Amino acid sequence: MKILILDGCAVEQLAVAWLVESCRARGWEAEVLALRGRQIAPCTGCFGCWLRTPGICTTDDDGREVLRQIVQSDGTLLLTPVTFGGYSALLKRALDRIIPMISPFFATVNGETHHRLRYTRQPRFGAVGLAGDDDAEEATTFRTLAARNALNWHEPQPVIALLRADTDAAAARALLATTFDAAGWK
Amino acid sequence: MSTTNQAVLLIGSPRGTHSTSGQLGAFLLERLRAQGWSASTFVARKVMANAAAWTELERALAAADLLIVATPLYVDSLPAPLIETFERLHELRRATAPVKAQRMVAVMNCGFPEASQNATALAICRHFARRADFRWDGGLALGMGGMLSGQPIAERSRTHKVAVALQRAAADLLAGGPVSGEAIAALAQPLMPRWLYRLMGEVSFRLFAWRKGVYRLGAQPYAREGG
Repeated sequence: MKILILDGCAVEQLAVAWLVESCRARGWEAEVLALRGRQIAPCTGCFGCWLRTPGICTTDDDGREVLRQIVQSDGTLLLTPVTFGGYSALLKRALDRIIPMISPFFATVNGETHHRLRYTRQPRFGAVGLAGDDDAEEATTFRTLAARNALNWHEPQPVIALLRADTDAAAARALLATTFDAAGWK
Repeated sequence: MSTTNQAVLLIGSPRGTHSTSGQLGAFLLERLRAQGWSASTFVARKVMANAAAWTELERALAAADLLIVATPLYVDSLPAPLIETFERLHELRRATAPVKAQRMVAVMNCGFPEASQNATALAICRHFARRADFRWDGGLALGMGGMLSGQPIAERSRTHKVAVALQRAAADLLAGGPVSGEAIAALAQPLMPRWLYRLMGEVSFRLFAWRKGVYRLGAQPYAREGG
């Protein structure tokens, strides 16, 4: 399994290495795509990626490469500081640009309207948050957000984990191993 | 110091004042202006791209009594430029505490039929408000945003339900309180049956693409070989 780690942290975090090690320990390939320093313009909301150049964003910058790498992975793991219970702006800028991965047409998932998938082969989805403090409400919002993103990816068993700022390497690896096991990723 | 109540409208849509978010926010602002409030409008994407616009937002917010955030749902959350604006405002207000009590309200819209899909993004707004020292005055959510399509909201139109709900929300804010459950429930009401909205959306997508000479909307340009 080829895992893409989409690193949305403003500075490199130890958690990147922990994630890579945790993937490799399971025999998976792991590649890190750090978003800092990349040229990714904000989504303009033009829907050109659905209706003018289906599957390709009309803005030609690094956002297209991020999408290509996600589509060609077997699984994508988001890594982000928990920001008001959500993702960092750095990560979100890239995520706003990957809507060409889905179809404009609707599907019903868990009783709600979502979009159909564009690709026959959809990568797995997961999100790992780095929490700066013990805010339980924000932690809940983060888990809910990741679970809702998983619905959009039609991912039935997402990997969702929260690492606290004071988590050490051993605890982080143990938590990630437990989370991968619980999600049943193989 | 001015004794007039002041509001700041921060629009999260990259389409700015002509977007559905811009129209929802403008409708609220007009009700406040009618009662003597002064108001200014900013677009997050422009504020993040322009130092002078950021300075102007800082100045307006320092004097504001109420921050209104009007934004579309992007991938279950807020558009990136709005999150970036929140990040910078949080840093600013951690360094220099606001000199007056300030309130914040958010009005969200999404292209899905279900207004409830905005709930997570509203929670993110609420967490920002708490961390940045705004009193949270509540979040309003609208589904079927495609029905408005950036058109002005009028009382005698197919979106009159939206106007009624926002009038109630404005009255709540003018009375000094948070937006009421009645206003929130009224805005969340579907504007038409879900099946009809979905059908109209899909037909309009196909028509738009067909007029542009685009026929393969299901193209898979980045697919790996072998699937």
